[in-house]
Amino acid sequence: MLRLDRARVYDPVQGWRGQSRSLFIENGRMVADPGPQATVERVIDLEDAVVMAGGIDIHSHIGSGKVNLARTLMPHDHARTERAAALENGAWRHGGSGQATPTSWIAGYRYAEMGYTAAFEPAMLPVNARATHYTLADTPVIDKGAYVLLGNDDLFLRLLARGAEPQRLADYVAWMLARTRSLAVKVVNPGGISAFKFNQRALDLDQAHAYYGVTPRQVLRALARAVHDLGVPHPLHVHTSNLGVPGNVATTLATMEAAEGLPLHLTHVQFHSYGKEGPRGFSSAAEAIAEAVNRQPNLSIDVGQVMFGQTATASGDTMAQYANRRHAHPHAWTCIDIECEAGCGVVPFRYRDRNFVHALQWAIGLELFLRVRDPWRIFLTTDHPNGAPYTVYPQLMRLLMDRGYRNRMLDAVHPEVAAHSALRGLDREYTLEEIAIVTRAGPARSLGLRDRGHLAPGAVADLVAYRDDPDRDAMFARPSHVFKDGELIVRDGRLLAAPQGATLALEPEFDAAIEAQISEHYARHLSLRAEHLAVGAQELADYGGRAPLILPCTRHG
Amino acid sequence: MNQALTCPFCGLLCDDLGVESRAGRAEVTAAGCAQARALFPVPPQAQARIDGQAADWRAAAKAAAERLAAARRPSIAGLGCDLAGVRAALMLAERCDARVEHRHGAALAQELRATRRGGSLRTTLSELRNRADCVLFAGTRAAAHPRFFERCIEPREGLFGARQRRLILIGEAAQTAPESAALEHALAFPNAHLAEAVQLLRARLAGRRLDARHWHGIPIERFDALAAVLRAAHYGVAVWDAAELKPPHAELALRALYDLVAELNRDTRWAALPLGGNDGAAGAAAVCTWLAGRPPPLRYVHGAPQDALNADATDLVIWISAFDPQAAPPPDVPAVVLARADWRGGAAPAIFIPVAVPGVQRPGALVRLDEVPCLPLAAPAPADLPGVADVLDAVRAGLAGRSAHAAA
Repeated sequence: MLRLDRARVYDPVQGWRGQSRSLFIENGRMVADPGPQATVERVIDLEDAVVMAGGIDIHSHIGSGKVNLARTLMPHDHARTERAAALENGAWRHGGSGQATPTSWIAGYRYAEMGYTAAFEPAMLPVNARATHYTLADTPVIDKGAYVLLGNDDLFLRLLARGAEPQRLADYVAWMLARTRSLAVKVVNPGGISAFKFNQRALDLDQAHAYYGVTPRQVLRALARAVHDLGVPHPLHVHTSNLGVPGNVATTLATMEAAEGLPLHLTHVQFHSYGKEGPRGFSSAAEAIAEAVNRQPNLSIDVGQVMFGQTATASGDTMAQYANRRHAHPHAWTCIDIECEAGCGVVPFRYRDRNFVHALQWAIGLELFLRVRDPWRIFLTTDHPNGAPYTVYPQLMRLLMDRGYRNRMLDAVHPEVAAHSALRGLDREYTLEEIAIVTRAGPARSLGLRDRGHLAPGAVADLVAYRDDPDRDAMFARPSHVFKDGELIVRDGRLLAAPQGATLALEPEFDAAIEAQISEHYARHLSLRAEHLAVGAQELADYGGRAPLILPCTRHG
Repeated sequence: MNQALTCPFCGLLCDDLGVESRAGRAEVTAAGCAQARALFPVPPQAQARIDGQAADWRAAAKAAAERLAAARRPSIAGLGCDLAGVRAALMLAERCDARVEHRHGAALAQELRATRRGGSLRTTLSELRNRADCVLFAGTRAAAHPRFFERCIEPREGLFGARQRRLILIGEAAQTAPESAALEHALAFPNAHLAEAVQLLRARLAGRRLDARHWHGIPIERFDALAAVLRAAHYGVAVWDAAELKPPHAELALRALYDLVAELNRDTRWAALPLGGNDGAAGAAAVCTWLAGRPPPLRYVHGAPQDALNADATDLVIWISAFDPQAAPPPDVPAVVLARADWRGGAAPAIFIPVAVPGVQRPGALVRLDEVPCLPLAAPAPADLPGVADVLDAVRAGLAGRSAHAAA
């Protein structure tokens, strides 16, 4: 047994708000105080450090094929490399490269070094599922999982257009979830990626798909319902129509209503909170979005905060990314129509603090964070790497916690942004408890990770200790201790060990008839067999990962 | 019989093969092409050798580690293997600062340079098969991918109804593949002129005036007629194979083709489908990119990956060819060969270690030539041979404590 003394624990699930206490760990799990008679093999004095469960990133593109495309388009990002080295425990820390699009080994180490112990790839195409899981297996230390991308696949759109019963659609979704080892379902630009293949260049919520005649609203509702009926813990994860288009606030608000009370998670909402007011035809609509979130308890969001610097935008939304291609920096981009299933578009991008639009995007993200009142329904993300790489999280936490710092940044960006954003008037400062909610407890609850995101007895002993520091950026960037499954893996920001993390997945049941229908569709029309989408448990272990850990398909009560 | 198995022997990864095992050897009994029928049967056993002397494979791996430790500029090349093999190659290269290259690295590098210099709009096999009403073959008849026509072009009854396809060839006509007889040879010229021809086509599409009436004997009106056909397509696909285009013009040609596709796409839908990916090249590019930040060729320096686009001298090559029995390592360099049991790609190497063929003798995975689908490989005729990754891991274990920076 391991005992951690003098831990000022912030655990919103247990209502712990920083009182100093001892924590007990055995066999990789938190355990209750065993009393004075118990044998404690090791004691670590945390010296009144701030302690939280390990961070959980609910939306980070670290495993999918599009990130690999981004890497190839960004040679400058990979000119800076890291050497391989032996770790203290004799294991090996692999070399790698990349800041905005780190290579997978490096991506895992960097998460661990800032106290994150889980991250989820939000856009896995069924045909790319195997490569995604292999890449995640090569992302060490952290636990991981992926959301299967549906809603632009021709079979689903066909079933929907022919008026298939909700049960049939749910079977289809269940088959895809189970076979591709997914944890949740995501839809990107519902129907729009497919519409682009038919040369439609925009598709609003109630606009008909040129071939199938269905609308994004219908796609969204059918998927939200299927996800709900199957008991998938995480609501349908939605990248709404009109990504990045000035005035898209109307679509986003309408999408929220389209759920008709069903649970919905809207992702990287910053990119969907734009008005078209003002002399430049681009304005903040964060207030309207936040009010809608505050009003509708069935909704959760993650922000997709923009931070300044070079990054890559990588999205399944070929329709939007093709339109964005002229903003590419450096000047290279790739869009792919994929396998009657989906698409992807990669546009390298540089956010400049002296650019009005980019600086206002930055302010809009922060406005959302500060205006949404319930921290359990808003999660901290940059939509890595789309808004910025996840390594900016400590700085983002400081922006949320330190109003003076935030306003000094606001003074430094494009001078007109302060006048076009209400940011300066928002005096809210996140507390440590709120940070613990938006970066671990909230994401864990939303994903159905019952034994993660908190430190109650029985929880996985993933936890992190930060030396209290008024400079919250410095504090969160370099934890004093990080434990993964009870093992000390980081000391003073330095990696000590690099164990393999778990892959988390669901296995919902489905009617066998859907399997026959899917097999027939693939064999007859596509250039690969449906059974070859299935990722085996043993093959992940053979490749160097771990067999998936199956979570129950039931929502939190 | 094993139904619907994936064939690893070209980048198409056809996954509808029937395969039977007879006396330990796989035989293709349904679907497949002549190449698959020739390459699936592989002997279940072969002798590992060190300097011609029979040895156990583990002893051979140990000997390879000793030679690798003594080498100053080692290289892991060929790289014809599955994803796990490529991963193991990188983990070994990281320990001994080796160069890592793929047999088709030149084609990969041409594609890479072209895509880094502008936009690229691409598509995949199922999209082509179901949507394309016009396919432009640029300097290729897809001869390196035997079932391309059968699987992607000939099916006319698609998801969206019957398709009439215009099949147009520009460039060289020399190769003959019977299926490609349906191609309209719109513009005939040597492939070395492809870049220039495509630029001319782009100029006419953009409405630019030309003083010349002919180009290499071809009337300009033929370009205009072709431009009109391309523009009339609802979903056009440009197909090429970088391996059939030679430097220095290849990269220019690819760039011009991507620009042509992007320009056509302003009004209608067009996309490119670069062919390639043979000998596991697409998988090698994918794994190297996610683990080392770049496709091969690359090299490790002090355990950190770097680009290695220029050829380097090497004093020891670990040559991997689990798929092709004839792939030959570079001449005049001592070689450790990890290859299929019936490998005959040149003179006896310093060390030979037979390995299981992924997809025949051992399960595995590969990435298809269009880079997104990643398919499983089965083992219809399992053999008592180590996998490429097993051997490379054993070499790495033998290297432990020997290399300079391992202890740093």
